[in-house]
Amino acid sequence: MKASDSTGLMSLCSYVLIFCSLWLTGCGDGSCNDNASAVPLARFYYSQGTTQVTVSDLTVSAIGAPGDTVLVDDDDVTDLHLPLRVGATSVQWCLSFAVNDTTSVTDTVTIAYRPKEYFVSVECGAMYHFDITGVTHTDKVIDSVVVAQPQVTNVDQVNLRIYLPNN
Amino acid sequence: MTRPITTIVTLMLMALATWAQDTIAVSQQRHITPVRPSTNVVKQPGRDVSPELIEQYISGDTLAALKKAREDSIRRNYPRYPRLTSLWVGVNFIDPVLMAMGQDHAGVDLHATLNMWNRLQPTLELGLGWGKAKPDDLNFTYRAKVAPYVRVGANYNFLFKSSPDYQAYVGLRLGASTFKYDVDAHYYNSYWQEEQRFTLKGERSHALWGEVVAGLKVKIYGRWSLGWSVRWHHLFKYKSTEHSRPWYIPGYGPRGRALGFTLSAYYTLPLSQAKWPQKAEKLKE
Repeated sequence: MKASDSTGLMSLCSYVLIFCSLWLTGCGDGSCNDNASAVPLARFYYSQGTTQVTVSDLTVSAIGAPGDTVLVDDDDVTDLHLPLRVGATSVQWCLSFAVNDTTSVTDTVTIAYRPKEYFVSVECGAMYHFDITGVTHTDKVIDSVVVAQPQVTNVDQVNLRIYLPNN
Repeated sequence: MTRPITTIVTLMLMALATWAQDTIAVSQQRHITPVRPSTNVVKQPGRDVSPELIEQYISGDTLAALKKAREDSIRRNYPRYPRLTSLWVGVNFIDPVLMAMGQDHAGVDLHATLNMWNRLQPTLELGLGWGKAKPDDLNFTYRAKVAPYVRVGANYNFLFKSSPDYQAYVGLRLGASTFKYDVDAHYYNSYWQEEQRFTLKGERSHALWGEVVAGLKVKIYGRWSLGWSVRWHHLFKYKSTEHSRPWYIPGYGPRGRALGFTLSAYYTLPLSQAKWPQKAEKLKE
């Protein structure tokens, strides 16, 4: 092999190695563009119309949560992520609406669902998806609850619409 | 006395008329550049003209000889390779190299390409692909089992006038694969403080895709060559199962990646070499 041939081969190998390095380091940032878990999203609306509502001083907790953990504590809420248990097929959520500084009214929303193991992608990982099979609720404050999207995935979308009276 | 004078006058008039006629004729003549002796030489035949052709020309069959010389010239400048110019087999080994550098999947394929007219090159690529992903900061292990794939297509060689030892081409491929994979996952919900492990075993999928290829192939030594190509590929369809979408597709790579790269070693078998253009023979020597 001539000297010029070996020089050409060396430069070829250099280009290949440079390309390989770029290939390994430069392919995306490996981040998940959606959520890393599937949690149903509930949004509040007025009963008449499609206007979103921000609920003031709302407290949210689940019945049976370890240590009676409160999900939302006396906060202003427009969107509500309500995590579901994978070891059960229904969860009851207590939503306490503040009437005044000392009094509140609590409604219970029961979500029935089917959990499903799901591998989404290398970036987002494996998780449980849920198919919502039904929703019931008490109606002290809440007018109605509508299942807008029964499939709960890691994509951000409203699954439940909680309608409240206009006043 | 009168007669000689008349004769003299007549002669003078005739001489004047002759002079005037010559002068006018000369002034009306075109100026012609004289042919210089240095340009008036016999043109030598070109170096590539065969002695037989020169002989034919000298023997008087000039038209046929000139026609033949012109055809030879065209053939030299636009060489035509035979329909079956060569056949090469190659192995794409870029993925094992990248896997050694940390890549989490690999595919090795053997390909056979028939070089037709040194221009059109139908090709068949058969390979096996596998992979394993276990990101440190995520909750799963994905195992893509060893699975076959096939790609068929053709290249168009832009260097079809040159020796087949050197190729610059673009091409199209159609690829397909059927494959299986397992996923082991660990799930933790911080609100419910619940931990679950699950396994998706034997997930089965298939995929069909297309590729646009641009590549180079160069002779390294003897009949051995190296080639590399960049491939833009697009998934036409793939099967998602009830519990997953495949991450790695053998022959395609990770599902979300649009570019592929190959590095191959080739062994070339010349076919119909006697019909190769002379220029290429010289290059080969």
